Amino acid sequence: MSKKNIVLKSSNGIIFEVEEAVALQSETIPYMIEDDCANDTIPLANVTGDILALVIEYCKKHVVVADGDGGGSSSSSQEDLKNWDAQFMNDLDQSKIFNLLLAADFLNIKTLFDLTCQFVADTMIKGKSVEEVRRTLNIEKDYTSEEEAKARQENEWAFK
Amino acid sequence: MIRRSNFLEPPSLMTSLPEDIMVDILARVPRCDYPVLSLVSKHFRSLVASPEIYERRSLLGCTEHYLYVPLYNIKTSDFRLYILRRKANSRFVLIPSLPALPPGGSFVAVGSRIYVFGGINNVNRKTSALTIDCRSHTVRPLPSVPMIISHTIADMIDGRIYVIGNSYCDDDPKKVMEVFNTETQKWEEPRVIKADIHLSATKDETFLHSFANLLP
Repeated sequence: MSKKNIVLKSSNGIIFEVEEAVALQSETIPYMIEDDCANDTIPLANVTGDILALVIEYCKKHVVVADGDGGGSSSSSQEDLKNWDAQFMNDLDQSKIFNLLLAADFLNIKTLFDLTCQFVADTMIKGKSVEEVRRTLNIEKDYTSEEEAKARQENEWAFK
Repeated sequence: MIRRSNFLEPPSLMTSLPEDIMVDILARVPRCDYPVLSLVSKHFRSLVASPEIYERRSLLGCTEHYLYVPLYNIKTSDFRLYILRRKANSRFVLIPSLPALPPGGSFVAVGSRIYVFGGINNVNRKTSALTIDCRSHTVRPLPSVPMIISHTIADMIDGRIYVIGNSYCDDDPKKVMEVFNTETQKWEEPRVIKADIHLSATKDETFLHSFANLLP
């Protein structure tokens, strides 16, 4: 059986042609194919070209591993994939990470959504001080000094 | 949520996310970081106290265990709830937002809640019942135990909490078992009253199970 290709178009008009198996890791795209069967190109109005390129890079990597062992993957390839995921996320800046997260949500790619959420939780929030979290995520302090003192008192048990 | 427009500051990518995605991220942060998060902003504070985040944590399997212990507090001369803090130097830390607990009360942990039975409600002269929400460290009163019961022991089987103790109505001491349904949050009928069962104040699960089996 010849491999079928699917054409995806980013919000800024960049065209990507990918194998069906790569695109179908998204649970949203099958619905778009059904809805839009007359047209060969699937427009993704919420995803820019640079982010879609990352999504496709991720999906290609993950589809290769699934195929390599005839559906099931060995523990060493699972380990390789984990390392690849970590490296993939580490190379991205914060803006790309959050846009990738939104794209994974929109395209409904569960493993990529879990990966990006966990990465944000682990690298930007976990184990940090109040000031570090505010600085890392660029969050403005909206407490008055009195309110902050009260909130700190309620959570005193955790800071002692 | 109140979003303040401030053209000098670039927007926070995190707080620009849809609410459910923020919950998804914060649910993956260990629970011990939540006190810090609640100080980051009012928005974060409401998120880490929301029922949604705990539902998400359960679905993700991110539940964590904490040890709560009622201890006699010499300063306040009453029983207060302490939490075991397991960071560098393990020790019990008082939870200041929780009120004094009844001396000799019975405690049953169910999910993120602790049910407390014991002490006399001064208004209706019945045995008090309350529940502590361990996520927010707040207390909610429950309907009082239908009878005054002393020396209670309690445990949960299949969603029902069985509270057993001594009852002294009509000056005739009896062993009483009341049943609290944690789903409906109501006391159930019929209660079981036995005059001939020996009941010790120490908790014995085997005993409790055999007693519970008396129910239809």
